[in-house]
Amino acid sequence: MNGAKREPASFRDPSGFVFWRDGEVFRQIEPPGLADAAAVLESGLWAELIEAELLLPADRLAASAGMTETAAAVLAPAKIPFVSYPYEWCFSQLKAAALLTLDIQRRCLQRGFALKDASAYNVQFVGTRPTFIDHLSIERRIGDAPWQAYRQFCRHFLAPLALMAFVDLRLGDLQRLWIDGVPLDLASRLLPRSTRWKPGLAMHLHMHARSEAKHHDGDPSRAQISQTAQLALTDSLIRTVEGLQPRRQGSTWGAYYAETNYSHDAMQAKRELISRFVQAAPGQRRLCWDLGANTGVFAQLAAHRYETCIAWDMDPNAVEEGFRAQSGAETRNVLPLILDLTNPSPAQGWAHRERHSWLERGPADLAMGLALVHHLAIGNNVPLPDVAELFATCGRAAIVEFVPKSDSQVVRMLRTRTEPFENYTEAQFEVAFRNRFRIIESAGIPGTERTLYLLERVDS
Amino acid sequence: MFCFSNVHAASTVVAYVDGGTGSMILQACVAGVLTSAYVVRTRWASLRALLSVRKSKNRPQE
Repeated sequence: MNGAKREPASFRDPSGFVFWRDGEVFRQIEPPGLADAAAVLESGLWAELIEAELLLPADRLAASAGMTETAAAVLAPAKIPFVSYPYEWCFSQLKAAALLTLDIQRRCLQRGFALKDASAYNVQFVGTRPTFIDHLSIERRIGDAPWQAYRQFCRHFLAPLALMAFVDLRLGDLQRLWIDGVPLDLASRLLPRSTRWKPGLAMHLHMHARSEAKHHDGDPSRAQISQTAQLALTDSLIRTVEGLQPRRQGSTWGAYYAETNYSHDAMQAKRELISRFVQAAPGQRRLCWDLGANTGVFAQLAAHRYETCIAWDMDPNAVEEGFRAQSGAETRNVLPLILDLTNPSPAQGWAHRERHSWLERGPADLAMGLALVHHLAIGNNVPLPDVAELFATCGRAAIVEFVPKSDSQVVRMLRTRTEPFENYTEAQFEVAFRNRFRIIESAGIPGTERTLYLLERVDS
Repeated sequence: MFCFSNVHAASTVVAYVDGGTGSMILQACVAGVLTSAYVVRTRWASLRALLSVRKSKNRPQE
């Protein structure tokens, strides 16, 4: 095994697989995938896609660099800073990934190739830019065969996007339930009847669902599609996806910063304090997680110091707004993602090893929890020692804000609660966090009753 | 070095994704309908691009 470990999620495609060695990622090309890979390379398609920043750059290595003796060739792709999954993306992220996939399919068709799969998991975000990561997804197009991945594209992209656009943004969560995409019959049933009059959705979703039910045991061998017809199909999918817009809906957190109890001066003081703590935070500067980040305003402060910042929030509206704002930001290394801290992304798929859990993808060098602890401790009844344990699990250093019960935001939360939350005090907060962290510095945020802590995990 | 010697272009490809019979049949029908409009649109776009190039060439140099 030469110290290499196969990526558990990489087992479906007989053309090759991904493996890890010494912390670096490689893609081994197996004999069944070699002819396609050679044809793609010779055509210049890989170079074109990499040049256009659509495909992840990769170095080519000799077969001897493979994990097993069956290796026909090996690729060493550039490393993705952080692996995220479609159920953690907001509407615009899924739409950007869909359009990237279709752009690649269009370019493939123009050169006599096609995507053999159209899985949303083939796309990863480097900062706010989507990039295609599976070099072996491209195959030669033989004859007038239909697009094998058409159904997969509609399940992975079109169905969740349509549901998020016409029903509710939170239906993006369905991707977590169905790892190979949302079933088309379910999407068709959940969508309003008015969508049957939209030509793109009528064809690719509603009629598609009916055709699946009607022809499930038919003979597909007579279905032939010319290259021009394939391009027309891809063009129609592009137009359909481009026409979808995120549904506007009320949100708990969407207007959070507009409704915050901070004065302008207090907010400015908080920003300056966070910037100072970020600068003083111990450890490496690779990955920062901002938990409960809302639109990522404070994550942006860490973006100058850390290679990659993930702005986690449970509200798809806030993540949507954050993604749009970050896409135009000066530093594009902040990636907003959807996460409910009280029920984070689990390990799932085959043998629970295909998609890694949220914590398996950590820890970060710095975990930030700003105006978060009271939501966990009071809003979700999580004991303070458990909150401290979570921070210790996901960050080697932490910046945490304590919001006392006298703060107007907490007073509002307590109005509907009868429990006294006697243990929710700053003293108990410090006791809980001292079990796992050393307090490097704490400082009151001017103009508020809140305290900001800079912490370093004590590793026993 | 990425060695592709002795690679013979296979005449068939092995698809590992189940395309689904209903999807294949629908795709053929839908693509047939979409093709005419697509051809008209792309030809029209090419013609407009050609005309705009000629126009800019014919514009007197200042």
